[in-house]
Amino acid sequence: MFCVQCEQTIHTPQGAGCTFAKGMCGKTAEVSDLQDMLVHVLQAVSIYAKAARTVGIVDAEVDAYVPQAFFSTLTNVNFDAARILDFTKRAQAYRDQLKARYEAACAERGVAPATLSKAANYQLPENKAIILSDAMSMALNRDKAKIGEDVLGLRLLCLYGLKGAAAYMEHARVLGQTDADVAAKFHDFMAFLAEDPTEVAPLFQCAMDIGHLNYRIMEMLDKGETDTFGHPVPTRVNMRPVKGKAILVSGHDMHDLELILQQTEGKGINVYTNGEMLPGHAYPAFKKYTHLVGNYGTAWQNQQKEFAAFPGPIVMTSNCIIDPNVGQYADRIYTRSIVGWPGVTHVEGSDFSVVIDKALSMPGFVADETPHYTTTGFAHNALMQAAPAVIEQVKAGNIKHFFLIGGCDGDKSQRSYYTDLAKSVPKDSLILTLACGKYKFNDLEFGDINGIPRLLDVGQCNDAYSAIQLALALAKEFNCGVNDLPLSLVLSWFEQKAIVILLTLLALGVKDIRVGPTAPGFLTDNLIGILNQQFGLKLITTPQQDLEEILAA
Amino acid sequence: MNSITDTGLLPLWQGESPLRCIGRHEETPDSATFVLASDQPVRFAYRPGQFILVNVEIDGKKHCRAYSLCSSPSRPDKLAITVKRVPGGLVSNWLLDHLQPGQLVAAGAPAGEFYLQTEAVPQEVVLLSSGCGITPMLSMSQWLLDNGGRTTIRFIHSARDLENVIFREELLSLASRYENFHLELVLSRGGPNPSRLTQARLAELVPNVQGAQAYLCGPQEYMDQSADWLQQMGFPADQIFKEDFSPAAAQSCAVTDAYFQLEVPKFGKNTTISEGETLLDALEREGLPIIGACRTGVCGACKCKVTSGQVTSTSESSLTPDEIAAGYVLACSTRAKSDLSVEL
Repeated sequence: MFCVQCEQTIHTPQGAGCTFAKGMCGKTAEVSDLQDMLVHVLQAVSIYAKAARTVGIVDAEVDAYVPQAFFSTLTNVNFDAARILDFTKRAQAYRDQLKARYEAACAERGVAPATLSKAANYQLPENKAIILSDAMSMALNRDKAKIGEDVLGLRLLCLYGLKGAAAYMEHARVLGQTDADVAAKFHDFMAFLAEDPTEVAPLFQCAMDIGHLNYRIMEMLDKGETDTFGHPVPTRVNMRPVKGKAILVSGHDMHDLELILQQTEGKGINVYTNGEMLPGHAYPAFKKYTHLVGNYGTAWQNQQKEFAAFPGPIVMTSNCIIDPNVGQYADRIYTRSIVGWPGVTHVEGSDFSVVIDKALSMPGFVADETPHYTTTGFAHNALMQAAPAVIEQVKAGNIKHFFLIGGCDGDKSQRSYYTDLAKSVPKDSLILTLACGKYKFNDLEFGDINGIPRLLDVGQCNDAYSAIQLALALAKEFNCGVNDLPLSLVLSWFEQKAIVILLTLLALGVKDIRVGPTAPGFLTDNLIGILNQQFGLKLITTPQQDLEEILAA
Repeated sequence: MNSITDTGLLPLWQGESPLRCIGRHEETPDSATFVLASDQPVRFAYRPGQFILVNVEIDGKKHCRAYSLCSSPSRPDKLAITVKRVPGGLVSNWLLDHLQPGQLVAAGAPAGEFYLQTEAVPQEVVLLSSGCGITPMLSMSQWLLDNGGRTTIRFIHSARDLENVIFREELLSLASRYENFHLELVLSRGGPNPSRLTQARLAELVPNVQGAQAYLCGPQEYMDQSADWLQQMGFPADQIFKEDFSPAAAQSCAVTDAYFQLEVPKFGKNTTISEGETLLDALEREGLPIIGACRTGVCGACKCKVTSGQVTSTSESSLTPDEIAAGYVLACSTRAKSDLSVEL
């Protein structure tokens, strides 16, 4: 096992990475090795998808499947070895189909098929023990001694960034947003990484290209969400339980939230959002569901306490899932799509009867708790509507600085930095936030600046797209570049979606971003130095020191 | 097409694929060496002195323990571990009672911070071991001898008697074949001159400390005492390497009938922990959120804070002095000595 993709990876004097019997996320070495194998076979599919396009073959099913299955290898998504193996076998079947079609098309045209790499034609053994044995030779650090840590770090930056992009592609696809050109570029990157590139410059370019691609993907996802559910509007959300039977919906997939709301209507079941689903309350399409009563709990790392205390079933529509046996709620948590945990019921299709029956069989909350509210829904439309007022306040000198403080949450104590920073920013600053990192401070009272709330929850992590739109609009209004705005980005990362958003921001030329709580384990000091040199990227220090530097700039 | 056969170079074995026991040698009345190989063509790469994690399922429950490799990476086609029977040694005793040639055993990648500094081998290496601590020393010796260097090896091993010297025949054979391999067995019982290692005797056995390195493996008190003597003899502290985790020592902790209260307030848990049980085992048994990755006090995954109570730990290797002062421990290497309150 070698896995270094998340922020909590093990650090020993020998280096960073989970290399023992179990990773810090709870992933076993077997699952980790099988995920490496899955990535290897998916890259083979992409190699053929790329080749097939040269003879006019574009397979939408394959284009959808590769990012979907790739998504299963993100942190806290799928811990089920059997399903990972199934994904791999299905990937190989797609590869074989594409290969046959490609070679037939070549024969038809009288041209020789391109000579593709060994990686393209890897044949999955029948026996699982041999698969696992092969998987070990596919460990991502397999040739570290030969290529060095910097090249390995760049490869991993690309691979993990691409994983994040794949996750957003899948979220967009669920909402009907696909794009053959985006898929082609995705396959190009997969195929490029399959060749084990060793040159720094092409790898660095690949990382930037992945960032650019993800900007398009976030745009697609934004379109999918707003076309389907309307543009978010600022909405107060109760963060406390109300009396009655209950279902909790976590993850990122709004489509699942809608299905659950439709199927529970009139059944006397209250629906709660959790984690990254909180911004769902702001979409107009969900306003009609009065049984969408609030948000329960906070960020993913608190599941084992919060879910354990939730008196109803829980649906994990995407990441992040952690061991439900801790807290003993494995019998009432349900996974969807690419999410998996061994022994946990997986709900396929659009029928949530099993979840609803479970909710009806459980007591639910026995009493109302005193409501406590947070406000969400400041996505780009709402921000644009507020922009004239914001600009007026900036010109009047009442708003002097914008902070974007957000990203992933996690359980490291160093993450209190983000709470302290949000509390410490000057009162004439606005704070934009997004993703589950918001839970570090979204229950605090920040007040307003002449009617403009000082804390603006933009939405999910992919709604970084909205924050970028606001920055572009402000830059246009003030006739300057985004980097000239009094805007500071202080991001928290945990997994691969955050990596690709960072790549997107860097690719767009955003400078002086601060990232924490620690540097990614796969980035060497040299690579961090290069990112600092080229983009001014910095690691967080202390809230006081960083604030002083930010405000003095 | 199979990637293993296509690469030309045999793929590196990185653990967690089953290994087949291809040989078993009874070393002493209570220890045996197991020779392990992969069914697939692989090469084993590690540093002399490192350990592997062996995973076994006993009564439906998975257990994982670390065993130092006694084989040398200079012979990369197979691995070997030596296991000693110890009171309460669940996995060790199970292996001795059950593992036979032909059977498969799950294992993890070689790991550990105690290894021979192969990048800069000195003129003289002092290998000091006691009991089962001899295993990494054989690996280091074999590597040095296989690589043809002229390093003087002073192999000083303490055991109860000759019958309980693990690798006895092999050590005697090495001593007879290599001029630079100096073997000294310090036997506390039996034989014509029963004795124990003393500072004076150590000084006689190690006449030259200039440019030498020392490696120590055995019970904690043995290593602490020996390290102290070596420093008094002029050995620089940074040239003395100790195995911070001693599997033998850890597993030889007697399982007693003493039970203590274990409280984890954040999760509303109140349970008991026996004196012979690691804190990690107890926390896992209660379904609490703690990750046991290496289970040998190396990786730091199971770091947690003891807010009240007394514990004994066999490893603090990944903890900072501030963390140790604040009460942090590695749960896999920690046992209770009183009622405990723990923060996760």
